[in-house]
Amino acid sequence: MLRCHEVTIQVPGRVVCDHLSVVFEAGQVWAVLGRNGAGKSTLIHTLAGLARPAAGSVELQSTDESARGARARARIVGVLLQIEDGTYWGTVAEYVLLGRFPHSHPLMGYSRDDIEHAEAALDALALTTYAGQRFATLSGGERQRVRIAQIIAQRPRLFLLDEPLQHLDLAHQARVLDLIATRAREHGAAAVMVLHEPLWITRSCTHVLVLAGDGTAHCGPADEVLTRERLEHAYGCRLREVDYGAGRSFVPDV
Amino acid sequence: MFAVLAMTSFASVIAALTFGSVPIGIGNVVETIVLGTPGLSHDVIWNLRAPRAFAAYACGGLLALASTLLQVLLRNALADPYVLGVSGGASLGALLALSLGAGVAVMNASAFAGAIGAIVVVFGLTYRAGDWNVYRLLLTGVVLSAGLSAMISLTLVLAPEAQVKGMLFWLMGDLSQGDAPLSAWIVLGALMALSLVVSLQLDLITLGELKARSLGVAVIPLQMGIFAAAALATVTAVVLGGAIGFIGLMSPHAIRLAGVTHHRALVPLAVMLGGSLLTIADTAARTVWAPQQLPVGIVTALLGVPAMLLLLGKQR
Repeated sequence: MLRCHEVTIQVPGRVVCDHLSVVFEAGQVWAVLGRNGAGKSTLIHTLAGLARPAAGSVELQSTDESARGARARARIVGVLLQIEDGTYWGTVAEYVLLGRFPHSHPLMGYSRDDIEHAEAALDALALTTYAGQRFATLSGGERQRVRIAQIIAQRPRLFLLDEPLQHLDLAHQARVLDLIATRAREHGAAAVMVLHEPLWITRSCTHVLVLAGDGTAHCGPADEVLTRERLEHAYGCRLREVDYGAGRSFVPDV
Repeated sequence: MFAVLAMTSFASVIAALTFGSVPIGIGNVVETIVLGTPGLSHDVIWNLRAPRAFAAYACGGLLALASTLLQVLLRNALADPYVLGVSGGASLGALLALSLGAGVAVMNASAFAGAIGAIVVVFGLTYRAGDWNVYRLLLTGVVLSAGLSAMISLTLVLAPEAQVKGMLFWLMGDLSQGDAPLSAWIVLGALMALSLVVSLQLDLITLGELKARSLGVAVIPLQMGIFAAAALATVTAVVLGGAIGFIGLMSPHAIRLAGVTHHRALVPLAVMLGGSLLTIADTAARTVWAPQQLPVGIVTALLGVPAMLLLLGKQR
């Protein structure tokens, strides 16, 4: 669905990845991990087409030949930014409806269908009771759920989510990951998420991309890529592998 | 809400036609308009009050429109039409013309030239080598405004004494020269239509530039378009009525506080509110101290400041 060919990404003073080639396919759920400042957000921006790689190409492979232009692209790719720094004056329902912009008619506005998608997304994130409330009055975790609901309403085929779980309580972390995993498994979507918690990665992700921080990147199926040595190298701290009954995870060994 | 503001607009214009130094009863006003009875009332209403009322309404609408657009562009609810130095440029142009004893036409042309000059300088300094940044736009505008206001003070100090009162009137906002509102109405109509066409994009841009881009909005062309439209609205309003404060800042705020935030409704509502408010304020400026006329900018500030403080106090 999204193909990176020999992509090199640089930020001032650091190489994020060097000649990275990877294909994100339909049905796959990818976790991107790496230490703070490794360039995870820059990678997401590059995949989203919001930033240009220093070398190489990022190509959206779509059977839809009309997928030209920014609006058409936004019908396929949904992006959650780590910092969405808008000044939004409207209500939660209006905020979520904005996710339908790529599908809406530029002059006629939002259709009945768009409003139904927005309502379904509010329901999926347990936000229906907040619909009429002003976005600016919500707490951090509630705002994060509204942002995710906006992307769910957008109905993209590729989710690029930068720290989707930030500010969320445990129950909502699980709910959001399950929602995304379901979109991938049952609707053929693909997801690339920046995550920090190994437990969620082993539980919900099929594939992993580790940014080591020195320009090297490891990617592949989660079972193969997630090793203690690799994570210790990526995070620069000693880890212990634990089995929590339904899978494995890693905790700092201190 | 549309109905309420449409009624308010209508009432404000009728009030502007009714009140004034020549007493004309409201029945007489209606009779004159509907039947077209010739006479003194007819002349006063159609030749004196109507052009001024329509000028005031267009001017208020333009200021509200410019302010709404700039608040979106700068994502700052405190942006008003004058934040980008447009009024400073226009004021300096007008004052230089006045201090040289020029007539109305020359003064308007000079104000227009000054405003365009300020826009070109702000845009030129902001848009260097294809790099466009809204924060630099804001800072450039604020810095330029400060420089222009010093030059305005200098012009006032050096101007011949006989001209100073007229210059002060102009600075505080004065609609008594508003004799050609037709072009302002055309500008208002065209800009409002354009704003409605991109109203969905205006909503999206308040989410932040990157987010709006990720949803398919061509952010930079849109921002430049907003800047151009806001600048044109401000220039038109300033040439018509001088630097009138608070109408622009207040109108979109009041509509937002009433619960309307999407721009398809916000833009026309704010324009109607701005137009009505300025028409009422101008009528008050003409009549409260009659036969002495007050600069309308003083009335809008005297009414606007407490209203604004009240609204802000109610917010959350």
